[in-house]
Amino acid sequence: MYKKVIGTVAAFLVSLCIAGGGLYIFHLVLEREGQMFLSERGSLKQKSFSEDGERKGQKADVSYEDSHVGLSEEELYLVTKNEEDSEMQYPHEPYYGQLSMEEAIQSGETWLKELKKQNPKFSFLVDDESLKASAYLSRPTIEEDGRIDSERILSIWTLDVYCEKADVILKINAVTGQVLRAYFNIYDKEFLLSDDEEKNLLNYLLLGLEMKTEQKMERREDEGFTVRLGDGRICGIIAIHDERGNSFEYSGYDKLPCTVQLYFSTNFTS
Amino acid sequence: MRLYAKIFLCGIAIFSTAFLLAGYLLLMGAYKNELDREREIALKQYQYDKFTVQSELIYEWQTLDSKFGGEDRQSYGEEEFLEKNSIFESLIAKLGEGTAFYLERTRPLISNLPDGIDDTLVQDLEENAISYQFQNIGEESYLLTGGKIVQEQIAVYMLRVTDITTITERHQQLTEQFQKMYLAALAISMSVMLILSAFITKPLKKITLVAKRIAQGDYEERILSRGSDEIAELIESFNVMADSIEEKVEELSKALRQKEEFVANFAHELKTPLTSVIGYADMLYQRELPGQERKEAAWYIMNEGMRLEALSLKLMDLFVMGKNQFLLEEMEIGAVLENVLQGMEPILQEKGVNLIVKADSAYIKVEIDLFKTLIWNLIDNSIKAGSSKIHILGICQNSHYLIQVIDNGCGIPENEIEKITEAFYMVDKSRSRKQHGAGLGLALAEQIARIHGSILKIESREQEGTMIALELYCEGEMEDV
Repeated sequence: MYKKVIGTVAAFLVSLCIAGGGLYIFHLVLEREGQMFLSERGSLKQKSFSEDGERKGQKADVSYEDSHVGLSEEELYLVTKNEEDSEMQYPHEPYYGQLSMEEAIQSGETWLKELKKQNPKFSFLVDDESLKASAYLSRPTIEEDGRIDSERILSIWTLDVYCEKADVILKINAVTGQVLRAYFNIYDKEFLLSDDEEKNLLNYLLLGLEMKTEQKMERREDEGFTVRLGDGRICGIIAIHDERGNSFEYSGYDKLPCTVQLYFSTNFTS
Repeated sequence: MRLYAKIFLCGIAIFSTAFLLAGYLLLMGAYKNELDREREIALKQYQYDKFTVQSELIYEWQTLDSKFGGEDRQSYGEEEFLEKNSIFESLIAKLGEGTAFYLERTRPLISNLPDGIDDTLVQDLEENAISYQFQNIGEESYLLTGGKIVQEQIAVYMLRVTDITTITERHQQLTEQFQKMYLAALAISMSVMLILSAFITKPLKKITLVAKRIAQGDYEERILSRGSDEIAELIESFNVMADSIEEKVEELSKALRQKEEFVANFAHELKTPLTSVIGYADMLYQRELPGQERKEAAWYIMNEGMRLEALSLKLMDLFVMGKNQFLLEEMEIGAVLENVLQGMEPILQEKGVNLIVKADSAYIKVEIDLFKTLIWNLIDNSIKAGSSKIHILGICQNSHYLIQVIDNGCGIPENEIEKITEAFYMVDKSRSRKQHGAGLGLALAEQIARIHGSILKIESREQEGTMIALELYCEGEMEDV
């Protein structure tokens, strides 16, 4: 009887030792591994056009018309579709054949200058002096080996341009330098575009695009014009949102309380 | 150590190991995933910050170009650019806390890194690569990212710090929560294991208890079996073993009882004739008897002597038959019966018994002397039962031959039939003794039947007669005798 009690107590104590010892070892290992994680050091190599020597992208000093060649209708569809569908953007250094940041900024500047020539109402955009712009290059898919060449056209340079009376965001294709989208926040109560001006803006946006199918420009019910292809897809759109009269308030905003939001893009949607 | 203690110990050891291992994999996996994700975000953010710096440098440089005409960039080189320009102050302000710029790897330009940060990572920074380093300073954890930025004529090294203390704190909290969970689960599992081990070993304790009782002589003790697991199978086997033991013990007890009865009966059977023999011998020794009385006394002595001789012969036969192997020979039934009945005619005539024999002709396998003894004993029993007519029938049934001895004697009471083949058992002892019976004839017949691979089947009705049958192996039917 005495032996039985001793055996039971011993088993209980040994099991407690196993449980406690296990917890102690668990704690030690966890702490050691944690320390190891927190002392990790490494580096991530980036692919860059400079690694490949001579670049074959568009030169910044070519004329605007010359720069607007390169993407076919299918490629343009692919680029805009990918950009719209992807939730994440992955920033990266320019690859071989893509525009450098300077070139992208210059391309945007040229496009805005041309826009000013097309319509003097945009004269507030670019002065003689250089644009104050920040730019970043991103792609909608994660970089994987062997996919860069085939998908380099998916990369987009995003230019944030700061002017006195407007903030402009330009989405520029990293291979051709073509402006695919433009968002304008114009802090001018009097800014107004006529139908012809809107049509001209769309034509300017789609300049150089060689569409296989017939294009038709039509006015949407709400605001702005769209360019529709023969198969029903929209390839260009201009949308103007006038904040005037809306209850939307820019409280605390140091600019004008009302803005005109102008958005136009090559937007291949059905 | 008791079995339930071993089960408990093993259970707790397995539980602890499995729980802690699973917890380790889970916690470390989650922690590593979070750190990896944070690193991905930081690397991505570094790239955006690098673009911001490059954009600023381009703008500033172009501003200088337009100021100086852009003809001779060397006239306002890197040093002058950095001296005259507060670009990095504005960049620090724009990028926020945790940024540092270095002109060379050992020459900091401007920094607002948190105190205590080890910036030796700057030594590893390269162009076209983003370097990273996790750092733990006291309670705080940081992730440093950095790289070399080359734009225009400027080459700077940038370090960015991301505070990841929340991740390490969350990991700590999760670890603490897990430890609490483990202790709670351990307490529960200990209780469960105690109950479970007691439950598992309960039937074994019961088996031990019952085994002890059986060992003490309580052979009827059994265990109730529930379910169909290994323990239930063990209980089932134990019960079968207990049944077998009980049966064997009963058999042994019966054999012992029979032996005791045998010895008692034998002593009694020996004593009765010896008493008569001693009495008559004493009478002859003590007194001068007249011729007729002396003759009678001698006849008694001879008669009882013959009984004793018959008894001893039959006992010898029983003893011998129990020990020896006999060779069965194939013989024709007619010849066998003729041989058997030949010596019986005088007795039958003397007793006035009508014997009718009707047997299908066939070859049977018998040991002729034993078979003769068997038939002799059966007919002798019938005569002693006071039969006037005895039938011996032989019926061939495929591979078996049925022999029936039917008489019209006094019969056997129904409750005595089972005991009739026991040695020294006599239905009517006084009648049997008068006829020199010792209660061994049917016991001997039963033994012989067994040697022939058969048993005696006895059917009887009081005052009507008895039928005793046995089956023998037969080769095939022949013509009727």
